[in-house]
Amino acid sequence: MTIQGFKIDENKIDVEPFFLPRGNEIEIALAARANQLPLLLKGPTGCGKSRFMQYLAWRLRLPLITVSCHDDLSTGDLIGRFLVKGNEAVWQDGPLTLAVKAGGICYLDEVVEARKDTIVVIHPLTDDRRELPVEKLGKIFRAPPEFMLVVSYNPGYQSILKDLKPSTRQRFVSLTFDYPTEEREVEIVTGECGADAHLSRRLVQLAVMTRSLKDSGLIEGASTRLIIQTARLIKSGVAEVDACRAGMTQSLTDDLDLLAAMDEMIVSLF
Amino acid sequence: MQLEILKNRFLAIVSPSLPNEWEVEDVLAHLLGLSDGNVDSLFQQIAVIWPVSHSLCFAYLQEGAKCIVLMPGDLLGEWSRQILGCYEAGGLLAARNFMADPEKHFLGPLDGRCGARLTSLSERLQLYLCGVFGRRIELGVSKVPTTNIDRVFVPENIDIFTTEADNKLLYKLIVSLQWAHVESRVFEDSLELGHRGDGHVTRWLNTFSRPQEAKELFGVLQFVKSFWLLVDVFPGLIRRATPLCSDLIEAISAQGGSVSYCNMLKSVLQYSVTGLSKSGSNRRYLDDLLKVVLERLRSENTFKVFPEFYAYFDALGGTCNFGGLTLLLGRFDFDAAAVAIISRREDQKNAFIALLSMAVQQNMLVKDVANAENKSQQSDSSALVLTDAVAAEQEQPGHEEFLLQNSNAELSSELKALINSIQDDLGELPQAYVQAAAGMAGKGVNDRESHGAVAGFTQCSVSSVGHSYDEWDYRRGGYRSSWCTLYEKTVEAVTSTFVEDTLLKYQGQLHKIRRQFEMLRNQNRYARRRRDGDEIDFDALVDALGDSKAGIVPSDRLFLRLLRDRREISTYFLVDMSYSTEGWVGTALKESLVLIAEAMAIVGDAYAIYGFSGMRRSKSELFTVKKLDEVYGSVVKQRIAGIGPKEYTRMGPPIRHIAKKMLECESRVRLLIVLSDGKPEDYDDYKGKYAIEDTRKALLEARGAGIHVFCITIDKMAHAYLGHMFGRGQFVFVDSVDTLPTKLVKLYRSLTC
Repeated sequence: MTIQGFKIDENKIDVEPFFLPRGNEIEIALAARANQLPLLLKGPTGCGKSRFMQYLAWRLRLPLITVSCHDDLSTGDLIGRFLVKGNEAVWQDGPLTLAVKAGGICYLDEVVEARKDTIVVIHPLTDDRRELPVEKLGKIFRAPPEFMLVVSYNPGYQSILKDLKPSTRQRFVSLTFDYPTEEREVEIVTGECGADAHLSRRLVQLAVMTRSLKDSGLIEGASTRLIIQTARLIKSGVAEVDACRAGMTQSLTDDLDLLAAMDEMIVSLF
Repeated sequence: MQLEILKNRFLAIVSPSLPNEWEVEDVLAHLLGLSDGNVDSLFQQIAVIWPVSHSLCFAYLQEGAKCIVLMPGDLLGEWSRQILGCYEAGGLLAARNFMADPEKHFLGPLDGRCGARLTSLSERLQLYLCGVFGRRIELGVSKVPTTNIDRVFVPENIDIFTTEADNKLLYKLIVSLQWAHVESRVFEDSLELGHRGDGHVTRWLNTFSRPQEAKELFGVLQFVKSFWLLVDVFPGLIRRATPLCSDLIEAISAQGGSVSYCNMLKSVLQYSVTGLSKSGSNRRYLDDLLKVVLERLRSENTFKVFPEFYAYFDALGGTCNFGGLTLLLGRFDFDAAAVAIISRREDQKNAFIALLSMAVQQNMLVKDVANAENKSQQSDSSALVLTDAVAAEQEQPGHEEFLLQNSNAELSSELKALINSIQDDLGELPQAYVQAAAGMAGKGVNDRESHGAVAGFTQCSVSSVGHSYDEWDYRRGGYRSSWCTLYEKTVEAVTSTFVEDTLLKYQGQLHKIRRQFEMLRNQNRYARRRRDGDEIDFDALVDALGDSKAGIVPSDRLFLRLLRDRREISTYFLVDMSYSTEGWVGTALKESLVLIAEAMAIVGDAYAIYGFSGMRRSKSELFTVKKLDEVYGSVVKQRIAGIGPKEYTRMGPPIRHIAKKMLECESRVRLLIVLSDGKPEDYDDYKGKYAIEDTRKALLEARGAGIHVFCITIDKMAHAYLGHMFGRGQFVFVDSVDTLPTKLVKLYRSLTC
């Protein structure tokens, strides 16, 4: 399928992504999709939100269009704009319009980073209207039943300025993601990078220990993504202790006391 | 050298402050046998020590006469500096102790041979402990290591090994072993002995033929169990620590004629630490049957295995001197741990009941639950059922997802974490807890915590003398109407150099703080699509051209303009001014305010500073340091300097009053930062759970009104109630008061960046 030269099928995921559910998130997401409800994913960084989206897109056989939000994202960046080609003005769909037309999944990652006036554009798509007005074209695109809007954010950064407005938040079905249980996280690390279970367990232990320092000044503990990254370094031949430092703890903080304490944890575990 | 010459030289140095001659002669008599060179070296330091303390100077000469032969003269300067350091830190006794053993306290450390001191390790060890335990655990001091499950006690210093590195490693092994004791649930298992209360384990040990040895052997057996746990969990630590353990075990000596007893103990310990008996002669003491008994520790608790283990030693009789191994064996304070466990279970039960009943109320299930509760009085059916979705549907052991039955409402993460914790502890969630929550849910809904509940604050009446506020009484599940009266006062401005001194003290950090806050202020961004601006917005231009070609009237917004984002944040700092902040805490609080004021001046956010204290419900006081619209000038600086400890900490009324004030200001974002030094407490019955619940309620009311609340608590111990009172992730704990000023600034930055 091609829309304005954009091969939407290229955004389809053919191979099943590795994803271990930690609860009933898949059932809820499928139910939301069946009822044409938008999804809000919230959880700490690197805990599997984006991977979940890849899995969902694969499971639904729908194209996944991801937009990484930032504070300079304009409405035009989402909806589209006219471009001049030769002597003609050609309309170029933005990712949101593209997803609506193609009946795909539009995933707005870290939605709180976008300015609030930009986010308002999604409101008509998130209620029972399910339509996207494009002022410049003078058209209203009605979203097909397949279309799904998903947004995500990380509530753990503590900044009181980065939050969703209630008028936006209350349009979504919310799924809370958190770090999996130790057993489940070991499975994920092993499944993701092929590390042996023993190594995965040690790395997960270290990550869990760093997460306990959250009340002691560490903004966020090591994510599952960091564990996998570290496991990959070790599989490539980097010594365990060095890999833990470079792949995990050094990425968490610059605080010398915290780093020293985490170093003690590393040398205790390896 | 003759005594008279020495005396004259001494008096010349200390003149005009002249001591008793007989006293001088007594002291100088110790120097008579020394060479002229040694005397000269010792005398060089008199001018340094004498002005500090005459007694110290005499002690220095007496001890110096003995030590001078041990150390080169050029080290005397450093020695005297360290003597003065000890004197200033711990008085004459500490200085005398330091001088009494120069080899241990001075020469050894100079050569890299020395013990490790907790003070130099505590910060790192504290963080390590938190990581290992997975929760906040405090470090305390005790000669023999022990734990009450909430605190771990270790010696003030360890000098068993010659190098500092080995002694530090021993510290780490000790705290890890204390964790392993807790993790192995030996304290919970002790509660199953059926003798709960004071001395329940002692009474159990007294049932053995030789109670003292039984106590000793129990410690050994639990050490083995905990050590094996560490082998599994911390192989890196054990790899490095095993040689040290092995040496300590070999150093165990028999007392009296109990050589066989001692050898058998050593064999058991060596086997558990190294996997084999170190010395061949000891191997015969460890037969296969004893190994089987020990191996049972891997799956059974120590209390179950102990009788059989004890039987092996009972026949031999005797006792040992454990030497340095005592630090690893530690001491088991079962009574203190039992108190902590029972208190924790009670807290968890109460928190669970409160949270679940609130969840039920919020999910509009009050009626259903009440009906169900009525039915339950007639039958055994449950009033409220929590279903374990994951376990039920996927037949997996996890228990993360709980749902209120007949409702799709998922429980809050705080409640889920609590349920998991209770299940981990008790093996199941007692149905009585759920029933109690159902009962409480029927008592009515307090809607002040819901969004937009401004009415909760407007209900208070303002009399000519004070503001009257309701107070939450958790026992009745409702408010005590107009229970407290709050008076507003202004902190008296005092002329002082406090602010200047603080700025000087934090000169280094201030530079960094200013730079970081400038970056916050300079959240400049190019506003696109403006009618006028500094540069052409090419995206807008392309759009306009496209629109024009498409026959649409093009926009005239074609420029980029550099905008400085206005941060519409109003922050109120509410500072604890109770008597308990007297001293370092109070100073650190004031220093924090000075630094934050400097940072705020740079970032330009509106802020106010208030203090609170009071005594009894009729006299809660709020002290104005800086109003929101007041300029940070000399008066405010003088008020900060004038902040001092007052009376008690009744936190509810000031929080409610400040929240009311905040709702009157026009900012889009309102942030309340509460700085306190611990538990809310007043002279009357405002203490314990009552005070915690009222404070929690006041904070929930503020949050319900759309105010962001964050609390910073300064305490030596992180109490379990903090998370409940302030809310998970809504507070930070500061145990090292010197770090408070910089932590506050850092926190403000991360909250508002």
